[in-house]
Amino acid sequence: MAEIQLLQVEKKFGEVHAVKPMDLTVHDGEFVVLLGPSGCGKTTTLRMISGLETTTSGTILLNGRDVTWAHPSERDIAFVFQFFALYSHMTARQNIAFPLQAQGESKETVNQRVAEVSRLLQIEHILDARPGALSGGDQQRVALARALVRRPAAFLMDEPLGALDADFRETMRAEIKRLHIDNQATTVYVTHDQIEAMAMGDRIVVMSAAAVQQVGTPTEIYHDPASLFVARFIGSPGMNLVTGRYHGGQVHLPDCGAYTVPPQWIAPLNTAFGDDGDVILGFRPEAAQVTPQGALSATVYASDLHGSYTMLHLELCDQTIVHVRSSRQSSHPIGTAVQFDLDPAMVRFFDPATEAAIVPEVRA
Amino acid sequence: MFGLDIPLPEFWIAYFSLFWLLVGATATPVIFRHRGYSRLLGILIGAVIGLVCAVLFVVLLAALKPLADLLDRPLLGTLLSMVISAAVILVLLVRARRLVPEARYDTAGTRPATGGPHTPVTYSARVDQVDPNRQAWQAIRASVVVMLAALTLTPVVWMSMTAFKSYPDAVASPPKVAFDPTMEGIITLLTRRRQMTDEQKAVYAQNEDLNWADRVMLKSGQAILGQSDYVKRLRNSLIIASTSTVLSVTLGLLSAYAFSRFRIPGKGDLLFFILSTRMLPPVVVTIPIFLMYRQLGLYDTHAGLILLYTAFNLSFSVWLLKGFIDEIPKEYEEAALVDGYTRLQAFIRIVMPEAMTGIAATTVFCFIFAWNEYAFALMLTADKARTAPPHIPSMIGTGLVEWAAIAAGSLFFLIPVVIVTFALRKYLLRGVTFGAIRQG
Ligand SMILES: Nc1ncnc2c1ncn2[C@@H]1O[C@H](COP(=O)(O)OP(=O)(O)O)[C@@H](O)[C@H]1O
Ligand SMILES: [Mg+2]
Repeated sequence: MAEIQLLQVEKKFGEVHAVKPMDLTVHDGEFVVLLGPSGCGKTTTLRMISGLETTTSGTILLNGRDVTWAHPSERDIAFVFQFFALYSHMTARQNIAFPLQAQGESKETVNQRVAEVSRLLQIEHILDARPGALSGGDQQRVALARALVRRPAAFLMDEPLGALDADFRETMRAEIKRLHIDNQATTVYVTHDQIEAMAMGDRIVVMSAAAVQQVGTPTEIYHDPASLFVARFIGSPGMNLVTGRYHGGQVHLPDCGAYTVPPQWIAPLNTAFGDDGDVILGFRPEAAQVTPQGALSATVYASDLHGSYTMLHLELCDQTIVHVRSSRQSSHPIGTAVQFDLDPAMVRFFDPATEAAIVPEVRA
Repeated sequence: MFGLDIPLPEFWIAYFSLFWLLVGATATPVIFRHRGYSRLLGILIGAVIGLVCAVLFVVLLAALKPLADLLDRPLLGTLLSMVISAAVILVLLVRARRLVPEARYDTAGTRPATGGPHTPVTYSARVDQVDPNRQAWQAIRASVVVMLAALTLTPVVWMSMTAFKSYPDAVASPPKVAFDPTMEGIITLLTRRRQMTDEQKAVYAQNEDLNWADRVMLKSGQAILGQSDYVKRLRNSLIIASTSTVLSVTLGLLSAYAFSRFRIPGKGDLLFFILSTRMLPPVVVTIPIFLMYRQLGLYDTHAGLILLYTAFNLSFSVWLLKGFIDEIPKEYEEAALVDGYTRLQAFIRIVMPEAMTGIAATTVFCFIFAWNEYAFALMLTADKARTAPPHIPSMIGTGLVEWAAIAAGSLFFLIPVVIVTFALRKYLLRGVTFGAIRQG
């Protein structure tokens, strides 16, 4: 098994940065998800790890061995491509056996391993079909089998579920996760779907504009976003972000009253802004609660029923819309004025100038 | 042999009768099947209708003859009356279609929706594709194509026949369709012979060790001396065409791959340069090349022609193959690379099989060009490396023209192209790969 280390790895296409210098350690057996919007350099990062793309600068270590300039075939890494890249002139079985043949395995070993892996992925019945005749899900399974059969040191998967239907994606997601749990193989998984990332990753690397925004467990990424980008990108809808003015232990929202900052945040905010400064107040939809005693006022802009809960869209006085989860029973007609309050443990603050989160000095 | 201007020649009557028979026998069953009858009934009735049409055509043509004669251009008159007759018959056929009644059904359940095909459609098809009118029309079009193909093949068939005719049969007028096949022409083509006097013949016939070829030629009083030049020419053709084809496809494949996959400085200019070698007619350079070849000692050598044909085909093969390789996603090779293969292995095991369609098409085109090439072969060879194309016309020397031998020569010349095309037809027809790549 393997540990992958990226040290200041960077990729430029001409003058354009596809990946700005990044550091990342993927521990042995870990499932790391690279998450970010399209074009942020996820695929490029993965291709650099596999050796399909050269690095502009930086070092890539595999188990401590410098493989920056090693041929792709010398890295013992399996790559699952976004569009599967199954060979159309071979049957599924030949596709799966193909990597083993490179290693010069004997016929019996090849047959046995192919049989094993196809039993694992339940594709025994389609082994003699050509990829063109298979459904997207089966093609995906064959592509996974082709990666698994070699028992590589690490797996790289580039949006492997991107080409599948929504409900089938859930099944395959569970299957991949399950495979990882069974095999404990180091995996780097690329996706632009934050739900997928949250569901699958041991750790998530959020990328945007060619740079790493934050590395952390799904919980950290969700609750303690390091920047405004992460706060907006993670969650559906993302974190509510309201601009206000910090002054005297309170955040004054334009015309909508003031929010009293929880005591543990006073010190960090003072360090950041002194006694007066613009601040962005962030809170997740489930951190807000509509109560008559609430300190903040808003009007109901819209409300959607989501089955188990209702999502209220509230309009603040400066016309920002915030999203608030409320219980299924409560009904708030559009246009009514409501008061809401925030869970003090779940509010976060951002500096509008740097877009970074304000970090509490001592974490409880 | 035949001309449109001959009034109602037998060939054309036979030809068009066959055409109408084909139309009747293919279009009618479609209508009958859609109305709920068995296919066999449709074919039988269709054949009868076809016969009627054929007769009608001949009658109409004869009836229109006085009209056609009014025009003082006989060819135009005949063509016009054929078009009119064909149109009349087609209109009648289209009308007659309505006369076919719907078949009765025993069970109510099998009755399909009005207008739909009679049998349930259990294969993938657009609605308009199962329309009986369209299918019948398709059958008529197919008949036209088949008959045109037959027409194009007629000279080839005739040539094959001539190759097996004796000299009197070959020059007989009117031409003979039924004849005694003989190997005379082929043997004449492949051997050098000596004409014998009657005495010599008598002595020669006593020989014990005559093989069947000797005996065949004995009938016309000739003794076989040895192999003719044609065998050498054909061998030269084979060597030169196949070597240059292999070379141009191999080189073309490698450079097309490089152009498709690698960063090459001035790629566009290079590609254009390669293409530009096609832009001037080859004849223009025959004289300079002739002079060059004489200086270089390439005149009348196999290497000379191979080099030339390879150079000519290379531009074509690079461009054609580049298109096919561009179609193969680069992820295919990358997958092989991460799976532990070298680039060369990935090229051989992935790119080449995936590009097989293109390779086959290129091979056929290159081979046909090199095989047929006449002008350069005539200019740049004398004897040692002379190929078949310039040789065949030279067989029409002074004196008696051996038509059978010439036909046999052309027939043999045809065979390799047919073999190559047939061997590769699977790939030629396969067209676009059933790619597993999904573009999202
Ligand atoms: N071969 C290439 N040449 C030039 N630019 C490229 C190349 N590959 C990717 N890029 C650019 O690099 C950036 C990152 O691409 P990519 O890694 O594919 O993003 P992602 O996978 O996150 O969608 C994009 O802006 C893309 O246009
Ligand atoms: Mg990508």
